[in-house]
Amino acid sequence: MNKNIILSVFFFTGIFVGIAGEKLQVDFSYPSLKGDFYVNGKASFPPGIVNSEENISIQDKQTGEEVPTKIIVVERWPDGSLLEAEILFPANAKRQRNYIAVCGSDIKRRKKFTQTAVLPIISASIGKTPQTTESIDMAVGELLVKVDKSPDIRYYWYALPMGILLFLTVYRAVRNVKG
Amino acid sequence: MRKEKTFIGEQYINFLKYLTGKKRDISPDYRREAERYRKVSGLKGMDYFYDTVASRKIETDRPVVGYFCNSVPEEIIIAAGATPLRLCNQDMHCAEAGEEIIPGDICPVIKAICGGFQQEIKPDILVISATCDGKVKLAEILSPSFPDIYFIDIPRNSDYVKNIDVWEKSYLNFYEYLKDRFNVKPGRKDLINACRITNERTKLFREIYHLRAEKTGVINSFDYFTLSSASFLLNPSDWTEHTKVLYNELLNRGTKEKEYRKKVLLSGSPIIFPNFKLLDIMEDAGCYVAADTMCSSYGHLFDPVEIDEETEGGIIRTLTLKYIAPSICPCFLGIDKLINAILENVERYGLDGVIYYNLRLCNVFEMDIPMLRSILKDRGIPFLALKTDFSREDTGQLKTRIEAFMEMLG
Amino acid sequence: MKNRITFIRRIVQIISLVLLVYGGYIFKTRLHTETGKPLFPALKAPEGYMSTTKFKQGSILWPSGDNPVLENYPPSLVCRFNPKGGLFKACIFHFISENLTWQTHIKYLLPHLTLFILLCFLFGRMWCGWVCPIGTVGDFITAIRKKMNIPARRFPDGFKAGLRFSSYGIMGVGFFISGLIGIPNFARFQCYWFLPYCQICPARLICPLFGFIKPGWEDFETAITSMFTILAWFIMGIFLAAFYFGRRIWCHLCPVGLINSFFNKGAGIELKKKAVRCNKCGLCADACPMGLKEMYERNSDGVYNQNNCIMCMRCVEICPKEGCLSASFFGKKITESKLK
Repeated sequence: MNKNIILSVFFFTGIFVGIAGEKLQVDFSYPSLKGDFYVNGKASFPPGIVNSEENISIQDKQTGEEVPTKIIVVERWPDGSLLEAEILFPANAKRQRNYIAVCGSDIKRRKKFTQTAVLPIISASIGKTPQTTESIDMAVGELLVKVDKSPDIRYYWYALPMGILLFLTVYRAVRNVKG
Repeated sequence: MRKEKTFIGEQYINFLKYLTGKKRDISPDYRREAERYRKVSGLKGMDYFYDTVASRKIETDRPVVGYFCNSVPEEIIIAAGATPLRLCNQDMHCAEAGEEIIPGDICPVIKAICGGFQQEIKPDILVISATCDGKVKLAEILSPSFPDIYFIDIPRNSDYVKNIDVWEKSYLNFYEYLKDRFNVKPGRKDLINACRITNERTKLFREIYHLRAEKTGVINSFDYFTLSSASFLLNPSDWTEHTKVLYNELLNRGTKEKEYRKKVLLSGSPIIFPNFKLLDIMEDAGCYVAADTMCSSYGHLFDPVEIDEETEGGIIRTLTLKYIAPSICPCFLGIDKLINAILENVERYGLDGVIYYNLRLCNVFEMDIPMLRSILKDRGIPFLALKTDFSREDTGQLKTRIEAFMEMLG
Repeated sequence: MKNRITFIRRIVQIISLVLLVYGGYIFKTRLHTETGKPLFPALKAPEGYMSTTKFKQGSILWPSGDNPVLENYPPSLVCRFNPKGGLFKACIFHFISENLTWQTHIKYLLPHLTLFILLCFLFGRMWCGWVCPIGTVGDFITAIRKKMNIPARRFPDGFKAGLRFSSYGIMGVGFFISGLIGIPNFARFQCYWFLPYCQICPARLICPLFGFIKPGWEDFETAITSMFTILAWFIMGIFLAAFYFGRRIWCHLCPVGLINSFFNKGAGIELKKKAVRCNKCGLCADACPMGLKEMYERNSDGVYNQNNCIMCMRCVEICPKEGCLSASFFGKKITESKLK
């Protein structure tokens, strides 16, 4: 994507087990119009930490409010605890927010998000899945998400010539059929 | 078509033998008529055609396939290595001879064809297509004396969508018959070649047709109808060769607008040499036949074969689209073709009126008149319907009517 | 020349075939730059979504691994599965199916749709008759049949109407499946159902052959791919038989042609008839590769662009009456019938 239309505004910081990951840049091709979009990330957990998807919660770092999320379990460790989960939550580009993912057996998620995705999805998958139970090599951390500040409103102007062409086609067709 | 001899009376066979065997020399009549029109014409290129129609002989070493109607495909005959010969005849004397066998209230053309077998031309095969009733029955009458009569069955509806498959089948059968009969194996190259020959003829005929309509008086109607009558007897390639000379002569010829008062379209029954009675009257009245829709000229020569797919079946299929589908013969259902042809010519060449002539006792031609009259009246095109036969008795009456029509045109 | 229009059409067809199929070889760099604000936004699968580029070599939807030169979608059957990516991205059917699956925002589709509608508005289904590479391949098969001296098989009107109805069916089912697998977290990972029509389209099998690339014609990895593979063989058989026996009977079934045909009646190319010059010989109907009869049947003057007409102008070319049929472009006469 072009530099002009990209502004890096959004940081998604996930601190799960205290291992700081590297800063990742995520490329995406769907800058949104209003700035609303969904963040879709995959997070990996070491064995025995999180037992259910209900034990993960995403919070706004400044206000401490919980964000409604949708969490799908992708894979589990042999002991039944979560290995990998897909997290989806709505965000806005205008308000720069940091989000924290909190997890653990004492955490209980309250706000759920069930709506089907209608906005562009910003992918934020990070790091690698731990290969073995002995060595955990996870890269979670700061995530750089770029959002288009100048939305591609100009593409809507194509509706005008398209409408004119469609009108002309129908008009000429009706004229031809009538003779 | 072969009939068991036992079914046919001895007397009838004897009569047919007499009819077909007796040589009656009509050439002096023909020669006299031809000389008369040759004097009027003044075109050098016409000499050959006048000689042809006067002698009424064909010189060929190939087998001759005779036919009467336009819906018999010449290209198939040529491809099978034979010479096509159209036997349509409008001679008064032949009609009189035919009356001995054919009852009185039958179309004079049928009688003339029947009587025409007294002449020298004897086709090896006679091909008859199911156009008019008279010709169908004529085939049956002649069958004892002609061993080979082939009958092409064609439905009466000349609509492409409805009947194309039937036409294709009957033409394919005819093709197979000729292959068996002459024991030849023509390929598609022969067919394409035959189509090329007739297409050249069509192209040249169209040039003359347009020239005649655009340059008033460039060719008089005697020459024009002699030219088309000669195409019945001549090989297409011979006709083309000699007409090219004539066409070049016509191109350099000036118009004779002063001699003619009005340009008209002549439609209706065919006009074949030597039956030029109507043309005589029209020329006298200063009426120029600028266009026509006769089956002896326009119908015979105007439509080309357009080969879509160069396969044997494909060529034979497109042949039906030359001969049957655009046919303006009133035997077929579909007067719209005739109306289109008349309106097109009148609009395109700015003609003053339409003269429709039908031979007495040909009912189908007469049936077209009311519809044509009403359509032409709507468009403000003057219309005159005439009814006559080969005899010269009604010349005075026709003359009065044509002159009155010319007065009406102004 | 006798068949002037057909001669020009064959040249245009061959040039189009070379450009569209070998475009990836001819224009080695991508013309579609990504700097500045592009006129036509590049449409890519969102992260985590299926896309043709994710298929392995040898699998059913492997698109030769290259990007096309232009990321546009002209109204002809230009295949995604061309060697080296080809000149254009894909056909309109691919475009709609893909973006239904990806649920791309409509504003990114508008530029592409506008281009498509403009091209259709100008030339109608001329794209089928003059440009479509599959049509060119089919015409070549037809030419072989002609050389073999086998007459063309004619099909009744009801059969053609049935094919058009089936075409609507194919389009409906194709778009329905594409939309269904695009619903997030519903059937999103059913990548074997991705681009259902492309999987059975004969163009997917024929186009790679031009670059001597083996198309994914024997993918039996899963039950679904096996089904699509066998279906593709079946459709391929129909395609070959259709072009061999009946001339352009296949084009009644093609869903891309169906979409193009909606624009045919109002297209810039007009086929006109002057009824008074018609002698009803039926050559226009007989020579029509699509077997259409309306031009013959009409008895009044007017513009007769039929829905299924591929604008090959064979009728105008073959008509032996001067000025009876003519082709014009927005009222300006291009050619008219005359005796050759």
